[in-house]
Amino acid sequence: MRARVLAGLNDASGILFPAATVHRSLDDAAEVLAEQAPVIKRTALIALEAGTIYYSLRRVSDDVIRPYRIVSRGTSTAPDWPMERLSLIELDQRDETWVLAQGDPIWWAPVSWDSFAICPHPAQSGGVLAIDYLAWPQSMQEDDDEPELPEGDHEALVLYGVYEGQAQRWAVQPMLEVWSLFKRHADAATGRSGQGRVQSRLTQRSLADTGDPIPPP
Amino acid sequence: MTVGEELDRIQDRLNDRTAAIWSREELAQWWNDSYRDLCTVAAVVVRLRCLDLPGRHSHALTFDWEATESTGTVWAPMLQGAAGSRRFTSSWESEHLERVTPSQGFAGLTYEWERAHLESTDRRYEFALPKNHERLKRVAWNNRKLFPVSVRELDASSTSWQRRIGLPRWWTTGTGRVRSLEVYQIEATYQQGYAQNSLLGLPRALQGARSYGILCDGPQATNLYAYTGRGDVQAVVREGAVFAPITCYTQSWESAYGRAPRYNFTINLTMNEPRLRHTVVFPWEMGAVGGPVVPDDGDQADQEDSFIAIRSNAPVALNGLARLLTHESASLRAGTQVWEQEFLNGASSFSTGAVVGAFTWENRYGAAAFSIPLGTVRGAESPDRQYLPVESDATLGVFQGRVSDWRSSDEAISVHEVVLPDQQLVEADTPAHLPRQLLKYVRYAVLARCFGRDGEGHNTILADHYNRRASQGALLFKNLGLAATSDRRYQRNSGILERQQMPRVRLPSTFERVW
Repeated sequence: MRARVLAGLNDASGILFPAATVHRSLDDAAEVLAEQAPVIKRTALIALEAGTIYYSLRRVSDDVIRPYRIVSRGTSTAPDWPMERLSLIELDQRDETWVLAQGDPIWWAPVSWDSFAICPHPAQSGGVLAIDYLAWPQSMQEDDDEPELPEGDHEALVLYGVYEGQAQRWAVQPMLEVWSLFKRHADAATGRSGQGRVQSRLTQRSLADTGDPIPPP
Repeated sequence: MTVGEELDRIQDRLNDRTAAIWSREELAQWWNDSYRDLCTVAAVVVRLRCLDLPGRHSHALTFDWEATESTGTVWAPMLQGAAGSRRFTSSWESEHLERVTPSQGFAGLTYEWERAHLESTDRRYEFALPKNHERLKRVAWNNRKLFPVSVRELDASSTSWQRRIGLPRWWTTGTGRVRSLEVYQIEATYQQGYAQNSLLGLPRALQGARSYGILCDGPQATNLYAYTGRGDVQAVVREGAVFAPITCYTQSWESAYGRAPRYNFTINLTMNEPRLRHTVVFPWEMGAVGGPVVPDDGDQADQEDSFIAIRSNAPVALNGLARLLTHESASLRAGTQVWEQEFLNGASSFSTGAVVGAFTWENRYGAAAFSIPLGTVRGAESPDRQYLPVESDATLGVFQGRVSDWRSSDEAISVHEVVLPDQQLVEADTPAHLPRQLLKYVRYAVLARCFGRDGEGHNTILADHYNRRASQGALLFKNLGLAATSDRRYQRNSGILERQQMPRVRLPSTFERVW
């Protein structure tokens, strides 16, 4: 990919664009694609600790975009308990003193981009929170590394590298042209990431329910 | 990724490594501006803060212009009148100046904590928030949510809501200064946190009514030597030390045939060395090889089973960490076991004895385990509640440094607030208010400012392009904080009202209760 980026910039020997610059561009490209199309998903475990309400996502990993599902495991309620996701406002509506509630965790609520709260919080340590999260890809380290993204998105990475090179040259028109090509790939990646949701959706016309049935004549 | 590294990347992108068009200082300023903008727009950097009850301010002002000269939180307790030229402590002073017969006024106060000593005042019940405060997300008193209300709603509820005493139920941004909130009803029971002045160093000891553990995750420390009493300290670290063995030996197997306390020349000469350096046969030889000078005792030639005194003219340096093995009684006599100390102190009941080890590794052979706490407090834990590290206004988001505040949310005000970076980051700093992967959007915002600046390098198209990319980053960052609702699907309802239960009657807290 580095060779293709340099070829696209007409700098095959990498005089104007050193390898490190191209590598950073490819890493940025993978991040941008992962942000737009949520395809990279991971699961991490955090031990449930007595009395702990707020958990930091920095403790989970440094590649967390955002968690989308948390399962409480190993507590007395059930071996696996998918926790319901609420906002802080909704949590307050259920219980104004939810901070004090003790028991097996049922709900979780994002507090900040880097932390979330659970409610109730356990009175005793034990069990784990399995956190499913959308992730940024790991940066590539070696020349023979392959991107974590699907094969169809690899072309987009090359295009992004060319876009960054053209931007560095202040070549406005070529830069914008390559950017529009990259966007087209990114949109396709977004569509691909939603395929499961589209296929599982129940689609039907709703009934023309007007409330009261029309009385018979 | 430091700010300096980010600036390098920006200069790479600008093709301006020599800063011929855009100076490094200019880029650093724009970087800080863009960083703060991103945090402001997204509003997803939320932190928990506990406030003193009643509120505590760094300074009390007489005139508003004084606020510009103040660092820290400010409060203006004085009443204003006479076309802004006068400040009053009590409202009757205003009447007096206007040549009106003064009426009964309320007591004035200078700081909010004085409420604990007052019956009633006409001042707002105000809490100040620090400089990096952006907006409030949730306010609680005693861990119970307080409801946000407007002043108009409060006016509709009561004519004297500003003075009503009771349990707090509502909060409002009220009629006070920026970065402040007011809480009603007024609960003025003293609940202050502990603030450690930076000039006073680190907290060395914490104590209170609650039980908690202190985390002190320094390096795994081990002691280099152990000692049994005050005399030993002198023997190993002080010049002119005196050591009085009964038996001397040079080989370890000989130790079984002597009487304690024994003296091993080889070990004592090399106590700070990992390897054997010298072996001596007679004590006087020790001085010749660099050890403590020992007078030759001609009266006892073989010195076996004899009492000798070794006097050291050179300090026997035992640098490092030592462990005191004994427990000293009130009479300064020491015992190895705790029960010995108790016995010497005249106790009637005694602790159970245990195997005492001098070093940590002896735990493997039955000695009681011990750890050596080194360094500062890194955390506290309890099975009953969470001790959460929170930022103080002097830090930049990373939980490093020392404990500067120690507060509780019990019977006090706690707020979830959106915060901003409150200081300019310099090149060596690492931004901590957003994930490192989003730093590229700060770069785009800086690039937009670079190309948008008039003069050399101005390019409207590039400025517009980078502006749009920075906006996408802000939107993405905002969405990170909306994880609760990000994939919810909303739809219009049918418009048919379902039968609902009437809301419960809520009586004022002053309503008479019968249990």
